[in-house]
Amino acid sequence: MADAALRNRLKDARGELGFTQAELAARVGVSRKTINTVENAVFVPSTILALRLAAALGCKVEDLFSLPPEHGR
Amino acid sequence: MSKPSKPLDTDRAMKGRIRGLSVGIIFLSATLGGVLAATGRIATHQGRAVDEVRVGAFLLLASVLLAILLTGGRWVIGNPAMNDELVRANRAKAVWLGYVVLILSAMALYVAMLFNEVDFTQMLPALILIGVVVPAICFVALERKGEKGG
Repeated sequence: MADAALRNRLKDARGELGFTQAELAARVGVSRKTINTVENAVFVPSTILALRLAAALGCKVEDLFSLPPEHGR
Repeated sequence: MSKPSKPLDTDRAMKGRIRGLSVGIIFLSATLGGVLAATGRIATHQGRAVDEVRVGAFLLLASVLLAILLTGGRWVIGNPAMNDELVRANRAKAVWLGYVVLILSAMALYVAMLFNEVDFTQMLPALILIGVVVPAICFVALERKGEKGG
């Protein structure tokens, strides 16, 4: 599945800023569980949520999410 | 004090919703035997008032569970985080699975009716149960999976 191929470094980016999952969830207006599933690559977020996450963490969407090399870029 | 209270409340509310759905699933499934017997008695004009109440309660509980499943209980809890895109995705998967299982069950029933004498009135409560309980169980399982981090 293409969905499972999405890589993310959300956990690292969140950790660098010292946010808990609950704090990040409150900033982007979703549940903590949603943040948890995105970090664990269980759930692929929508473009809107990806943009909100990037804004909340002060980085670009490409810094948080990427495709593996075999899917090209 | 620096931690926002909203996500914690959301977590607790979501766990409460899952617990409520689970209890509803168990209760609805447990009442099926009694409802089938009551349906048979009503259909053969031997039913008592208690049979009608039993069938009515079954239909009411099934309707409430279905409403919670399809709306996320927005009419009870207005927190938008309770209905975020993960919940909507889980709900879509659960409803899709419920639809497929319900159609397959109806097809199996149709085939069975061609070869055996099956009272369709007796089968309707079972089909209603399948149509409500299968997506509800699937939704609960997906929500718990998310809770554990997959």
